[in-house]
Amino acid sequence: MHSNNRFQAEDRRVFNPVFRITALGMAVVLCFCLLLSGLHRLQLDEGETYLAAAQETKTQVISVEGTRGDILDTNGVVLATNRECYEVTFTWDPDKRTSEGNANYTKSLLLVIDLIEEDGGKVIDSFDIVRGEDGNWHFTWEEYFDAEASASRAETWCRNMALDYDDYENPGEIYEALCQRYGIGTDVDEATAHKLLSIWQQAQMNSYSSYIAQTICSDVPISTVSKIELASAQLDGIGVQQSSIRVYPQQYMAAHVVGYVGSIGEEELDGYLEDGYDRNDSIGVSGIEQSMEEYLTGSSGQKRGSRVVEVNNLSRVIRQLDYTPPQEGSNVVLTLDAELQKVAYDALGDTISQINTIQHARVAAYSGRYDTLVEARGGTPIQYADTGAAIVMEVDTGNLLAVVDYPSYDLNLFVGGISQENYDALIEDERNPLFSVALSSRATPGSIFKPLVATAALMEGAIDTSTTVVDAGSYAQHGIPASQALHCWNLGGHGPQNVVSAIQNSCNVFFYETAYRLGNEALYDWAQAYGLTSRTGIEVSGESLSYVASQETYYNPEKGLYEQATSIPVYIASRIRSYIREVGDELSVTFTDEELNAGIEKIFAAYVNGEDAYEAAYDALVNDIGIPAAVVSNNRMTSKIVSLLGELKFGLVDTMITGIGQSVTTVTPLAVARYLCALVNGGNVYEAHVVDRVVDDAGNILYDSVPTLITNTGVSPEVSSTVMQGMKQAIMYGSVSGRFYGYKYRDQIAGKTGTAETSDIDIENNSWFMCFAPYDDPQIAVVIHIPNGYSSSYSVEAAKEIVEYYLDRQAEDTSASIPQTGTLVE
Amino acid sequence: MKLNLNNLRPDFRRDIRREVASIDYILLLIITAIVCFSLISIGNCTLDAAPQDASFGEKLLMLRDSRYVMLQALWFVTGVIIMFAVAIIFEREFYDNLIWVYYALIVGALAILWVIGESTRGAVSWFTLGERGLQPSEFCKIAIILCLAKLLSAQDEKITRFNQIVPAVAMFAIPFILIMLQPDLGTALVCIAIFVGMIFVAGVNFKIIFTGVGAAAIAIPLAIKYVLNDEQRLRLNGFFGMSGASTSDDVYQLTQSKLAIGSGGMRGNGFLTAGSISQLDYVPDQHTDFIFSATAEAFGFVGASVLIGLYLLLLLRLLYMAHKTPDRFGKLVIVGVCSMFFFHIFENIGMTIGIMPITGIPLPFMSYGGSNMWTNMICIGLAQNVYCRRNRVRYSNQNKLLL
Repeated sequence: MHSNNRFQAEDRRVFNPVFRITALGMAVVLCFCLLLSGLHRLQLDEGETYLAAAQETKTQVISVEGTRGDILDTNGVVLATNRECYEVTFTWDPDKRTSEGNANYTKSLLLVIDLIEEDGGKVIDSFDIVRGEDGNWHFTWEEYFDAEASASRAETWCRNMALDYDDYENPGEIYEALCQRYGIGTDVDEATAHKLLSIWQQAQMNSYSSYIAQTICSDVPISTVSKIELASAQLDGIGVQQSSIRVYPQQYMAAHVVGYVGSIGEEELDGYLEDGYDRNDSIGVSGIEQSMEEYLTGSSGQKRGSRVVEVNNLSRVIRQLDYTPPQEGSNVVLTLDAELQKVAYDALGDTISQINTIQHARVAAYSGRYDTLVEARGGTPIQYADTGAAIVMEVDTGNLLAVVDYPSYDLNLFVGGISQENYDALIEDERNPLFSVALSSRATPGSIFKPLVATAALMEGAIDTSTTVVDAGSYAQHGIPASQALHCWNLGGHGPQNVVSAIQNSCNVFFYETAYRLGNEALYDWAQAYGLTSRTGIEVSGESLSYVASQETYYNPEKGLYEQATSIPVYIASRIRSYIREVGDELSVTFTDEELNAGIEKIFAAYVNGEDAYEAAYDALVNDIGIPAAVVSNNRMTSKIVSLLGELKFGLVDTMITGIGQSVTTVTPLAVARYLCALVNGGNVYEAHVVDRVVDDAGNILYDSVPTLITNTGVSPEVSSTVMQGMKQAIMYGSVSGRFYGYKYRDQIAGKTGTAETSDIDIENNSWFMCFAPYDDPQIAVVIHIPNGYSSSYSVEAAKEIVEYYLDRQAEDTSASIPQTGTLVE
Repeated sequence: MKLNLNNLRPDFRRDIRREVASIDYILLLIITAIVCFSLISIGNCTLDAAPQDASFGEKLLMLRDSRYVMLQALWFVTGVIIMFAVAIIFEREFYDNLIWVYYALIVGALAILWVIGESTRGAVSWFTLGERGLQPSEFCKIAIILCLAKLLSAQDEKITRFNQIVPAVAMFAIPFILIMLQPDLGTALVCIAIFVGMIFVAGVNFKIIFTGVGAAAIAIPLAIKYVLNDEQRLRLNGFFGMSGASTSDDVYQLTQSKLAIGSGGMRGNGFLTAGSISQLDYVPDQHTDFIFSATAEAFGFVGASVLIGLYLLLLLRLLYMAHKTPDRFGKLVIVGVCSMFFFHIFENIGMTIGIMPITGIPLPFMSYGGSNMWTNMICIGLAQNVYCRRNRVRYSNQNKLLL
């Protein structure tokens, strides 16, 4: 191009845009550099961060539970295990979260609820808004929380349900709004609507993890499964999956020991969540299921496995990336022998019903007398024998072979949450089947306490084997006036008694005298040594503490008024309080319980310590409680108060009647079993064990229980054999000897009966029987306790059957060759 | 079908073979390369993951299973035919006055849409034809390019007086305002880009340009206040707040898009790879507006740079063609087409990486969609048409060369 032309072009002002096109091109390059730099920043500078974030977004961890371990008896009989079952699930496809989608789901849910209920299944019903007694809708927590806490909970709830709490006046409106959201029409009845809302609530609350199918009904029968499969075309979102459920094949057998599982309570939830549990997991809530939870569970963080999955934007699982299998729960093997347990349960049940029949017959025969007695005590009806406990303990280990509570209950009732109906039936049963008599009931021991008194007195030298006491039927010595004489149960008297014959005849007078010579403090120490004032340490919660009468048990000044062993001090204190208040009313002064109790505790302490109670009372009334001195003296308040204190002081008579197992001594059957073992095994007091070992699913032993010797009482072999001889003779020649005529193992059994008075009505007496066998080489200790069992002689029958079964089997085992492991399981 | 083009103008004949040969095949090659990228990317977004051990070739064969890939290929092949048709048939001398008819039709359609939109109180940008929509604003871009080129080529001097561009501004303003009223912010911005690019190359002097920029500085805030609806205002605010997104949907879309692009890294995760963000459908609209995210994730910085490089080649080639086109009308048409593509590309890629607001305009030749593909190919056809014009030698009936 000639320069001339260019000038010409400019002259003609023809615009040549080459410069501008170039500029445009450069602008384009520049902008693209911007894009590249942005891309560089995202992909190279921050690429790692985004890669990690992407990883986190698309992967989810689904935790997998291990199976809960089994509970077995010592021979491998299964007491608790899991059964495969089917559960119905609901999966809310995130793609279909529209009102039509919801209505469609509601339709299939309605259909599936019908199918499930046709076969007797139960759909979850846990919607948090329920109709209250006033007919209005309420949040379930309203009754547990104050208004503020309840509102804040409701607000969180609403947020989780994708609702704005402020938009609604009351739960009723929320209920309506949710019905509308999920397309639940007015034609649906309220109970069904409530179930639908429960399912929707669960789905909504878990919507962030919709890749997990939500269980809406667990354990449906196979017939329901096939119906659901048939109707699957109309059941959008409904699925069936395999699961497992706890079962107790032995049903009511050792129910109180085995225990059951249930859901995690609101108040323990945080602790369990910390341990890695899921809020829907089952945990043991009673018995071994509870105490061995850490071994049995497959749900704790330690045992849980996980599935790492990739989810897409709709939270649907696309594939599995990683799988860590869960650890199965470990099996717990008990020391219990299911066969023996069954024999004992049946024997005890039979005995109790026999006693019950005899009691009713007696009341019918002497109705006039019993009517008078009932009337005399204000009409409280007669208590008949209908509960009881039987315990079989291994003498040399403290292992429990049978722990029987009668009546028992079917543990399977509690699986998957007990129905209200069944629960009410259990609660309303006057026999209180849920309560363990063996572990938790305390009762006056009566004569079964006497071998202890004999042992203590012989050891302390208070008596020796030649000591003779003449029983003339009544006993009024050591300053007891004849008018208040103590009596033997045999009003005619047993005549001269030594220690062996006294145990044989259960002679009260001999033991009054022995207890007197021994003194209460020494007796208490020996009772303590034999474990009658402590818990046995059984691996099941709910064991009660036994008490033996002493000044400390009556009133211990070192403990507060409300921490005493018996309720007597509290009762006396209440009488004193009301008396002081009467006086206070006249002065127009009011007192709080705390003010008065502080003074009363001082008076009690002075009284039981043997100080001047009048002075202490005066001091407390005037200085602590603040009643003018003149008022105190004018009303003779001190003497009135001191006159009420009598029952706090452990006196001479108390020492004597403690010697025959009366007074405030109360013991549990389990403690008695352990005490009996120590009596016959040379004084070894063991912890009671019901768990033998814990075995994981690979067969490793995680925990092996060994006999735990707490103490040896230091009893001499001579004393032991003397007491055992007395117990032998009680069977041979004592009051129940008639029941052993012709008994197969009469020579091998020794024992002691106990009949403890509980009221003026003789048939309400507590019945005890404790025995051991074989006599020459004691292996088992058997304790039978039947509250209101009339007379100990009846309890004997149950013990006889148990001992017979045990010794029969021993004989079989020794005559057969050494059995292979597992052959006993048959 | 053989079209006898010689019948169109009986007074002279054309040498079609020579015209076809003179079409710019480099441009077509660049577009074909981009479309290949597109087919792979669409397949990546719409197919299930390939088995882990599948080779690249096997994965390519898998693309046939995607309906979207096959349709996109169909749109492209038909688009090429359309391009050739436009390049060869369209003769300015013959259709010159029809441009205004076309313009009037488009403006009329936009006006009707506006009326419908007003009465139903909703944004309407589609005419429903059977099951598919017909979007007049798509064709409006072509109308604006052609009309601007026509008006701005009325003189060939530098434009120094306002009255010289008044007809152009007026012509532009009418459809632009109608598009804003729809409201279709994305297309409106594309129109502005076309307008600015063409005015610039038309030689409007800087005095007028600066005055125009000043006027815009006053008009834009007013427009934001009175013309835009709330949602669009939010989007713009979001953009100026540099977040690039403001509504929760946009925030989600942008977050997922950045997640996908960022996780691609240098080499990319490969296409049809199990577990990639695009495989798991985390990015909404990933086979249409947000296809760049999936592409950048699959092929990494390297692949995305290659794609951006191809787009740069496309735009520079168009500018080169504009430079080579001797007549002013032709230059302006190509610059208009180039500006349109530029804005589409810059805005679309910019929004996926978070430096531009999310407006919902597709990435040319990459995003799945027939009507967009066809519009783009018509535009390329126009550019080819005006580019070939210099080789459009005509012979009289007597086989005499006409000049």
